[in-house]
Amino acid sequence: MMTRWQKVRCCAVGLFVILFFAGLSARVLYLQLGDHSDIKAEYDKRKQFTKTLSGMRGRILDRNGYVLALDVKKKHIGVDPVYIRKSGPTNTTAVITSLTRHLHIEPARIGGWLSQENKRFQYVSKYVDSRQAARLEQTLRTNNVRGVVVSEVNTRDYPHGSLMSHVIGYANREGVGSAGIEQRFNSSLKPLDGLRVSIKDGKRREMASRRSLNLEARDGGDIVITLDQFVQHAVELSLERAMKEYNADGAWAVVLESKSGRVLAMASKPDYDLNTYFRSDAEERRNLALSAVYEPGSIMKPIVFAAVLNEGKVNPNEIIDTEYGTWYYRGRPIRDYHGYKELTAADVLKKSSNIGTAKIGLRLPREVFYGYMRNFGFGDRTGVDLPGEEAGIFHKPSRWDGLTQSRVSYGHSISVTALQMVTAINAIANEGRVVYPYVLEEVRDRNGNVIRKPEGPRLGPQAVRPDVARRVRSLMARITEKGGTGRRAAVKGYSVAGKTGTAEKIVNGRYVHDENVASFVGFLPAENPVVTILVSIDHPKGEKRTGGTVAAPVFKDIAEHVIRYLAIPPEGF
Amino acid sequence: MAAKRNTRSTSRRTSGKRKPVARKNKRLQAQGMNIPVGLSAMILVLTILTLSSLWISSGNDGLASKIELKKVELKNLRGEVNEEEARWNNLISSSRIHQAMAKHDLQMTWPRPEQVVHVRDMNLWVANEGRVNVYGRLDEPRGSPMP
Repeated sequence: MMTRWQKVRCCAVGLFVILFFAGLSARVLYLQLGDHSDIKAEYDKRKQFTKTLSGMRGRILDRNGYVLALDVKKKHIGVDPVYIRKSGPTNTTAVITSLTRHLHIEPARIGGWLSQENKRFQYVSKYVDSRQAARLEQTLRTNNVRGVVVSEVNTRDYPHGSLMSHVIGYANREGVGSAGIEQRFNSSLKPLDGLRVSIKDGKRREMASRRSLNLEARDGGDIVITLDQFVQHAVELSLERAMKEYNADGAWAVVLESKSGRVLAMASKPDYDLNTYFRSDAEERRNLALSAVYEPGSIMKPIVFAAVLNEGKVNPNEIIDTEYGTWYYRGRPIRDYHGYKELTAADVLKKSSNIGTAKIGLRLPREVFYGYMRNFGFGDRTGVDLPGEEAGIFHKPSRWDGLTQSRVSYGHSISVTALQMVTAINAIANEGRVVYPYVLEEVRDRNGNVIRKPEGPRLGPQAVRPDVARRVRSLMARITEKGGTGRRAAVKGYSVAGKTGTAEKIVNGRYVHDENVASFVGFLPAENPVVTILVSIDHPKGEKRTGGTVAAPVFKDIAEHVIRYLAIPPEGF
Repeated sequence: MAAKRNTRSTSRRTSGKRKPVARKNKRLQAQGMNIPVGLSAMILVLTILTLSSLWISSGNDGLASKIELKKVELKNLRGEVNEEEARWNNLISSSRIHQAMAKHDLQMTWPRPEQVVHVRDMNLWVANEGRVNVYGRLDEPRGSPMP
């Protein structure tokens, strides 16, 4: 039997419980039924799980599938100086020993970093190879060393260093292509980030069953280019040797597959290491084969010959008066390197007579002459799939003075890029049809499926008739024979069609007699061309610095390598 | 209520001739409220469905976390493959091969043209029933008889 006091207490407790639950229920009802969008929004925001899914940038491969650029993981190593100092001298010594052993950093330097006051973080080494970093981490774990921070970072790696540097280009730290193929095909190479939206649980883990959006990241496509690393290496070696031998300011070369216009090699010196592009200067990063605009000199002559032959205004056997090496045209002299009284038109090309070529070139009316030059591609970009290409300088006839046509005939008063020039000469190798160069072979997805491929060669205009092109080919083949200016470019077992060129450079608007660009352009085998090659050496020093002495041997070096590597059969086979 | 009805019917049946009837044990009779079978079945089904849903959802979350781990693993492995690929391509690059050759004092040159034997036109060889030389040096005329 409960006493009265007990009954009161029971009632009080009961009342309290009832009131508590009533209040709770009222609050729940209030929260459920009332308008609390702000609270709900805050709740949803806290529970929201959003994650950006990142993919990998595509690779760049050469025509044989060798990797030229790819994404790899590297490590940044840092230290916490304050923590290490506080942890005692034993740990400090262990940190210095470990870092010295694995990262090859001088102990005094590490000591300097560790002695910094109030500094909680200091990078010791960036972009460390992951294997090297793994060895360091192992040592740190084994010896219980504390205060060293290792963080992972994705970075672009170029396994071949400076090889093909101007063509491949580089992607910056943010993963954006900033030069070469990396820039031109950035949209194909860059990955598409994915997005995941979901709800997280109390431990902040994603609840997969509550996932409302899941867009998977897509890796960037692989770019396969037409260049061949072995041909490129041979070209770069030859250019380096020439640069060294003639103490030249620069050099560039282009190798094209004659029929298709595929670029097999494109080299420009000086170059730079793609892995340390940020240490190079702008001049080193410049692709001279595309952006150096220069007067080509005598390598222009076969183009003029082709144009005049196509109009039927010259016969290779006719005699041209070459004025003993000096001819005054409109009061201004035109000079030949070697003076001759007269030469046949064929020998004008073989001996590279400026006077003879000027006289032949002047046989065409201005507009017709201009039209042929435009058809061969001068004054326009070739449209190669690389950034930074220049169009050269070739004015309209309305802006010509009385001397322009005669000078353009032997490669002055016109400025071209190496790629323009090799494309024009390649038209002669290709039955008179201009074939524009290109570097993109195909784009593949991560599984190797082709997702984009150019539709065959990019054909340009028929600049001259096929029979004219064949005749010019045979005239050019004489240049590498005995008595020609380009005999140093001859390759045993093959007939080489080519042309030497030596052009004075223009500095501050004036021709400088002791500075020139020595060039050689040609193709082989002359009768059935497979490759077309252009070599230019900028400002070679020494006694003899003509195209025939400086550039022709480099052409020969490259040609010998290419015919063996590509197994080009000798003529008659 | 049900118990009362049963009692009444029993008394009606036994009204003519009275027989001794065993007294009913009230303790054995159903007490309280009867829940309809349909409702209980529905509750049962709902309970099963809820539990199944919870079980599937928790399994789903478990699988998702496993998949996520596998994806991370796959990404790491891809990264490792890339690193190996980078190393391998660096090792076989022409400049590295040249360096290695120079280190070991090896010098390689292309064979001289007279050392190269070219395989000539096989159609020519077939047409002449193998009587002409299709293997030869550059200076040997095409189609010369077999030595």
